[in-house]
Amino acid sequence: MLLELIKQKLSQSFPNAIIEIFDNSKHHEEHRVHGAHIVVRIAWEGFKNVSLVEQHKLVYKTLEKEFKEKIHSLQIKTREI
Amino acid sequence: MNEQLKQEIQELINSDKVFLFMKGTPEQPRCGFSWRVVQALKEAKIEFSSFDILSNEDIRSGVKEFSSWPTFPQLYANSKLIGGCDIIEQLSEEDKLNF
Repeated sequence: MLLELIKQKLSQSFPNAIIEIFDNSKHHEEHRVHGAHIVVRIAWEGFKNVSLVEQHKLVYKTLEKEFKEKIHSLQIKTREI
Repeated sequence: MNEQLKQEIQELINSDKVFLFMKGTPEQPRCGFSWRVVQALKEAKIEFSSFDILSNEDIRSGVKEFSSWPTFPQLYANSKLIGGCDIIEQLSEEDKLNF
């Protein structure tokens, strides 16, 4: 469910981007109680001329609500296409 | 955020050319992501100062707001946010970790 929601939100923020999402929580069973460990990879045309910091900030902003409530850690890899 | 806290954070960031807000200390990181950034900096032979955000809740929550960046570690160079663990590792892989 969470992955679907994340995918939906990212697709809205980054139209036509190539988006991959993984749930990495199984590698963190011992502290899973804090929430999910999510990995997202986004390749998007709109990242052109945008610094890495700003690219990641856009992702954080998109998932702000989920990050506060359900996501413990968010690993991000962004690139332009 | 109150002005005093904001100024305190700015002074920390300005206190060294490369500054890391992390969980734990470089000698004893208390989070895998902080550990990885320390390793990347060491490998690149970059000297840095750091602050253990687990030791001060005001600074911890203040820095998140200050930088509009919700996670730690956070690396600054020349008083500018460079990024968190993912960005530092990406720069390291691309041999672009130099300030």
